[in-house]
Amino acid sequence: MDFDVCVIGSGAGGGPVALSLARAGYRVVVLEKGPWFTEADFFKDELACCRRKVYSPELRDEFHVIEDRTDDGGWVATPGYESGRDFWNGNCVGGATNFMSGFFHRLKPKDFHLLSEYGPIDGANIVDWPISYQDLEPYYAKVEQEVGISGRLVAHPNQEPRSTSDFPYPPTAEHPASRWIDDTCGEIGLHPLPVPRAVLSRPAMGRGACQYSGYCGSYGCSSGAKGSSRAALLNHAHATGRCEIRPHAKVYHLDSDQHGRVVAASYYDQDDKAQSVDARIFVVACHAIESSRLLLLSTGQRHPQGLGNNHGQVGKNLIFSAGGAGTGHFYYKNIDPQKAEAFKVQGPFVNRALQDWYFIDDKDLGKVKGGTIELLMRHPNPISQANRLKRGPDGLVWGETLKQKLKSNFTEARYLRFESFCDWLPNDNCHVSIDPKLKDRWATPVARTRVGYHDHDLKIGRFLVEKGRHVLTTLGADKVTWGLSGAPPANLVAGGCRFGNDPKTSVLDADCRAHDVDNLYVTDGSFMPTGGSVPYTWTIYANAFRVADKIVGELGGVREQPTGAMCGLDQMPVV
Amino acid sequence: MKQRHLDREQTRLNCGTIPEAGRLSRRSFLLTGGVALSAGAAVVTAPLTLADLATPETVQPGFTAKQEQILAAVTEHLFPKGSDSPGATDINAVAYLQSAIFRPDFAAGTRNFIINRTQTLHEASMERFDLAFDEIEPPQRETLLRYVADRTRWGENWISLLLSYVLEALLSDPVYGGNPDEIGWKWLEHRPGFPRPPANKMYTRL
Repeated sequence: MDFDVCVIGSGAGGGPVALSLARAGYRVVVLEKGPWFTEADFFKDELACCRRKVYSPELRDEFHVIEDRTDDGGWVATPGYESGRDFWNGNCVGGATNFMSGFFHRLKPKDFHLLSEYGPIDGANIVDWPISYQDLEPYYAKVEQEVGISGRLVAHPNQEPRSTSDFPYPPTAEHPASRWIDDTCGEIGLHPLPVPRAVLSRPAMGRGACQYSGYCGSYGCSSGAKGSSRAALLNHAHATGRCEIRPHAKVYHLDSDQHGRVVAASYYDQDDKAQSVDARIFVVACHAIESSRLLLLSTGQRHPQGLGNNHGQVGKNLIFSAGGAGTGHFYYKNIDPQKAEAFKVQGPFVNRALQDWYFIDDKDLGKVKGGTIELLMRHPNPISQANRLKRGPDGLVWGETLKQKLKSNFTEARYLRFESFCDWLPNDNCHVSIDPKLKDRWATPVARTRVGYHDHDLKIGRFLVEKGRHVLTTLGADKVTWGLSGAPPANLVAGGCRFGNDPKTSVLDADCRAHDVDNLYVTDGSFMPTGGSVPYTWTIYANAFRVADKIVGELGGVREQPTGAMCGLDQMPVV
Repeated sequence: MKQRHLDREQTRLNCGTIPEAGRLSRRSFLLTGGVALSAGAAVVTAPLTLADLATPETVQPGFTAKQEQILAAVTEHLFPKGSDSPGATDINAVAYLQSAIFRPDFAAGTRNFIINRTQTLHEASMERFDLAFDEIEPPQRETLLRYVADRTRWGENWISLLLSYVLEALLSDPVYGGNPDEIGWKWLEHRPGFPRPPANKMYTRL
């Protein structure tokens, strides 16, 4: 047996498992499709992060087929290499966590039993989770320590219960606008809360503190402050000497034996040669859509429909994050000069969110689940901004018109945005299957993803957009542009292998082990039956730590007391 | 930050900052935008053909001298120098475009599309004005470019692509050859993030 545990994927679902198992004395291998970048490779380079395929595959090589609803109610499938759309968020060691903004929120206790709390909604497959907030709370707390979450606890109406009094790291530096938001929102009876960030505000655990360059989301972090799975977890797992990380290892099949147990992970290496690794336990964490794809493709004697799919549940109930967004335009000429100068500050974070409407009790909507409004500065990426200006209402613009638009956009105003996050209701029109024809560059069939949304999501989204617009207008925005749509955000995807107690309606049991494969776990966002109304990463991290403890138990408990354990990491040199 | 899928680039406002959606692929470009052929649209040229998308047997090492002159004129027209602002020539737009699309891993179809349609524009200019595009006056240039943008199937994509590279040449890190002396950043009072990419860590070398 090569390893005790084989982890497929190195993002938020893989890192906690690799670290926990390696610390507990087990031999772990992590198979990652992409390369292994370090802090020394990350720069504030818009071409690298956002305009070339450096951290995600060429769409000719690897793509998704996306099914969109047509006007007449049918579905049309388009391969990503034609549409330019994809769901890749970071194919490298650490996965998408390298490039996240790190807005970290916990779910609320009610998020764990939405069906019991609010009842069914026609056309939505809402179920209660098989675990409660209390089961996950210790692991949320663990993530605060291990990943390093900066924040400041303030009282607000929908604050979830916590086992610790405050965050382990003080908040990251704040933009002057944060104070204005606090004052203005306070005056209209709202409760803005400092957003916890997976960004270190001071050096710790061998990582540097945030350098406040003003470019965070979409960029790899060059100081190690961002709590990526790579910087915060896998580096430490690797340092135990018991965790091997294999980049450029693209797993295409999990082989199972006549008893139905997984015996090997088959993968292609950097030279596209087929390789194989065996282990006692296999953990799949390669991104919600790709995890479903791998299970569906991994047919075997006892699993003719794919692993975990004896009841046809794999790929079902895929979810995204619903909601809209808006941008407040604050023209310097309409602000007093001192405030305008303060507005221009670049680097510190706004770090404010509103959860006053996380649970809505409204005369029109009634008692319904609401969501979170996040406030942030518009991303400073200049080429992306400029490119948006090349189109006007009548088509392309160029020449002096384009130049004036550029000058005005970049120099005459600052842009404060809101983004709303609300539940994407699981439904029968949002799922992953295997495309019958199209294949990736390794001749492996690709995932076909239908991205249907429930109209209820737009209703809640509209409610939150109205609140967001009101906040920005009250803050003094000269105008607020906004949008609301059912388009799925590519970086907020979960579900597809939801957990539950009934094998007929779920893929995984409460421990995130496949109901019908006793040595197979799934620890990325796939397990979530409902998504809550916040970004997923903290919950994925926490759940992966929880499942890791179950796996340690399954393997016989902690094997040896590791050196350089949690308490020792603070002494590691800053890289 | 939410990153939403959009139908085509960022043509409608959704969740504002969507670096993903505007990403130029090194090997794949959106060539057909579902633009319907309208009556008379084929006057200047035929629609996209398979020849546009085919991989040539050999990669042309760069633009021909004439293509370069035409592209210099087109990009300067799209992004003219102002009294206090740089134009396409000042930001090395054509050299930047050249270095981007003549890389071996750049999509051959897109490269051919850019080259072939430059040639098409040249021929259209000769046909209509008896002069090459770089020899006609700004009002004639405007007429011709507006015509191909609005009335041909390829024109919008072609100009949009050129504009993308012009804007990259204006606002990308100078290490890539555009934006000399940070002239574009200075004009738009843009502050770059740190650390900036050194030459040995350009994206082409990662």
